[in-house]
Amino acid sequence: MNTGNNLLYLMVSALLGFMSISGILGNQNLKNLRILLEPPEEIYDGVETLLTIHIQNNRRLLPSILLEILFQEQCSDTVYLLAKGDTTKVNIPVTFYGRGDHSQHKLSISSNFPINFFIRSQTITLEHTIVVFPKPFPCRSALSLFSEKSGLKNESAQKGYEGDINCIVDYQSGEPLKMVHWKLSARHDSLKIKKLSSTGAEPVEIDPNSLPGPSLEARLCCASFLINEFTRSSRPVGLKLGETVYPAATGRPHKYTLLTALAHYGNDTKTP
Amino acid sequence: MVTIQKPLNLITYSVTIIGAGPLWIWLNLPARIFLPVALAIGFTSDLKNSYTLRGHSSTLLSLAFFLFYASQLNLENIVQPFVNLVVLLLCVRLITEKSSRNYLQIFVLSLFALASASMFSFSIFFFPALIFLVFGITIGLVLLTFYTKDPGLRLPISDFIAIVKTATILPVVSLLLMLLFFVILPRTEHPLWHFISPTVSATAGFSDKVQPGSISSLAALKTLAFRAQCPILPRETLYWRGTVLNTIDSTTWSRTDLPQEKVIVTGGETVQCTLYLPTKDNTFLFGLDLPFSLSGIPHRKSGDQVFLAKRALNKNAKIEVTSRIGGTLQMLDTIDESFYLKVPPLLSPRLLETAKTIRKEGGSAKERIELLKQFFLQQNLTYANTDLPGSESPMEEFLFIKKRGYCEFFASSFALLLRMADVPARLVGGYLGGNYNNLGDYYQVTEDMAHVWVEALVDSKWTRIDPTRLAQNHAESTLNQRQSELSLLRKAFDSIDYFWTQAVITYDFQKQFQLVRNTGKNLRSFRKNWKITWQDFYPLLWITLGIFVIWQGVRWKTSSKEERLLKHYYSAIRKKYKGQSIPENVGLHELAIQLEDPLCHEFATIFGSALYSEHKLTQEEYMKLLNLIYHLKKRTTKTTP
Repeated sequence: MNTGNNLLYLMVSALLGFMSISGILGNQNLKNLRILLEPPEEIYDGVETLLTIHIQNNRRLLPSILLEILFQEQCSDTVYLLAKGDTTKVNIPVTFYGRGDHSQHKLSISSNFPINFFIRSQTITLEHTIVVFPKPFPCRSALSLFSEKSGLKNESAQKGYEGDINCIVDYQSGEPLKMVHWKLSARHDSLKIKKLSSTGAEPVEIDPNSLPGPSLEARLCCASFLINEFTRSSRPVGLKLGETVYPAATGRPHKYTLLTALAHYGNDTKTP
Repeated sequence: MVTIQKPLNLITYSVTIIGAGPLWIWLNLPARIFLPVALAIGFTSDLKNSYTLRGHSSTLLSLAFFLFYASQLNLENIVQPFVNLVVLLLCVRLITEKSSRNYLQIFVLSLFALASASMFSFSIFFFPALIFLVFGITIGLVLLTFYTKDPGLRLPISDFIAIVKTATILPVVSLLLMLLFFVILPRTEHPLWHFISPTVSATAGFSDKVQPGSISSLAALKTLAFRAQCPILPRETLYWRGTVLNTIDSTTWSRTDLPQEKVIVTGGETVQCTLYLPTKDNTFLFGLDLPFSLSGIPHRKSGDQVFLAKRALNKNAKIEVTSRIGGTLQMLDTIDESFYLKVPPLLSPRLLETAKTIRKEGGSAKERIELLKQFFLQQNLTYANTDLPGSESPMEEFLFIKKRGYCEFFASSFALLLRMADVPARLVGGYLGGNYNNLGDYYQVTEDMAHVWVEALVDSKWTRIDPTRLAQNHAESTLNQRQSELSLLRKAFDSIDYFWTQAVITYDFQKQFQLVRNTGKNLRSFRKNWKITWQDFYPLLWITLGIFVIWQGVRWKTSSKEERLLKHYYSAIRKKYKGQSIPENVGLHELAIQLEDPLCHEFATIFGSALYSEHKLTQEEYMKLLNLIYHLKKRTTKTTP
């Protein structure tokens, strides 16, 4: 007979059961999670930026609880509950080092669910190409050099939306309605639109090799700064990288094209 | 919104009450006072968020309690200081500001408190308390994890419910695994902490001494004496033999060492009984009269068929007893009759006179017994538990003055008069009756069924005589009602308690070993006797059916509303268009065109719009689609000849 032990055995059995299921539940809590990166449009070498991470719970029965994402030793806010099938996003301040493509990213997802005794974590390697632009280095001397070459607010022959009417042409799909010349259109059978000149300053072409700086990297940083500055002031900017020439233009997409070219110039793809 | 601390506090207080509650009756006064006070102070402090006891002061108070109770510790007194200390430490934690660590300490101390309760009692109430504690502590620990992240965390009610639902998996599965682990955990042959158990409190009812007149009234105690698993037997045969009292000293009957006696049990019907004995402060082992063999625990057997355990019964025991109902205890040798004829020196004249008359009128032992029975009947004695004869000359007062008493009066005066009339006699102590519980198929014998009867030596055979049956009110006396029907509720409760004792309290290494052996044996015999009937398949069928239902349930739960709807739709059109092939990979619109059915077109339009715009179906759309499926099915029924 062993009666004295049995109530104790019952309690120990319950504790063992609890340990087992808490381990399984904690393990399952991190399963079937889909992680997606949503980097900001501009990421510069060595400059802190906010990275958005989407977490999707693909589990069919249970929610995921108390999730935290750790990326580059930075921890996200806690996601207290992510219901089955739901998606949420968290932001993490990150800094990428080295210009060029960063295509593999190691991050870990952790949780102390169900009990605070253990923290479970899972390391995930994500394939997502993030282009890191050269860090803009404020090279005022180069900027003033370009300013001296041509004054601002000069009208150019390029198409714009603010200058004088260059010519009247037939409407083509995609043209903004504000450009329609209603009076003329009324006199004709077809819609006529106004072609205005651009009020931007004189276009500039940046050749990093001709910029001041002790090294290629320094000159690329200067070029990055200049591209940002000229885009901000709506001045058409072009780029000459060896044999490759990017014609001068304005706008954010053009800026990213130039910065991407700078990021890849003379360098292979980098991984952190 | 739900502030996470509120449900956490609620769980903490509930866990404290359930954990420490079972210890209440064993606590000292300070702990008894402090526990409810601490609960009240803690509760109000949490509401006001203002605490009188903080950091160091609480540590100092805990230390003071520890030192006080540690100074009281000794080998004979371990449990009391320990449980009081556990409860007082719990109280300190309740009234201090609650950090994550403090909550954890409250949970652990509550668990300790319940574990300590198992040192005092094996009651079935431990089980519901443990279940509650497992639920409370596990869900509490999950909430505590949230609390640790952010003590001021507030969550939407729907989120909170979802978290609690998920957390409930922990206690449910823990308890299921508990059952498995309980069965398979390796057992030790020695109790883990019985060395610190307190001595078992004395049981009332059955006694190893009979002293009529020592009390003025007898209270009926309903505490369990033992349970006996045996066939249903006639009421008049339910005499449970425990001890034999062979010596009378003044007015007290007791047991002294027997002269060497060789006996044999003859005749009667053999009955096997399994008795489950709770903890006792004596070593008497019971058996249906006349017991002749016993197994289950180490014991000694005397010539008068009294079985004594070699060790104190400080834990529940299970014994197998073989008895002969209606059997006779036959002496094989001549015995020293004078041993059973000894009487106290000072006897009342009325008793002497009665004995003298019987001795004179009765020629043989049989005749004298009959004469004494006649005398008892003539005296119009009443069976009673109150207004009993006093202690100076109880037997004379019982027979000639008050003429009322309970079994001890009847048996001791009968045996004494037999001895005085030169008929060797002794008292037998045990129980009479038993409540048969047909839910569990056993007799429940309680302490209020304790009984004493007489054995007289007639022609070298010990004959059972129950003088209490000679009471004028025997037919309606409580003694005669001892094999009564229990109420269904009591029966059910006692059955649960019985199964608790069977399955948990007495589960040991031997049972564990037996379980493994039986499983192996059954498996081998199953392989050998490969003769299967349909009935053999029933359990398998039920299990398969159960698994199928669970699997379907899981599938239903895991599939989306849209998936289920589409499945029903395909099933409906397959039934309706039996002759046509309905390929699954064809689009809904294409299928509708193929079938030329306006209902299918409507279904495709509604479902398709949700599918292609990647939004979930609204309730209205869902109901509309269900209605379409219903109409598709309805038309099927109509067209089916």
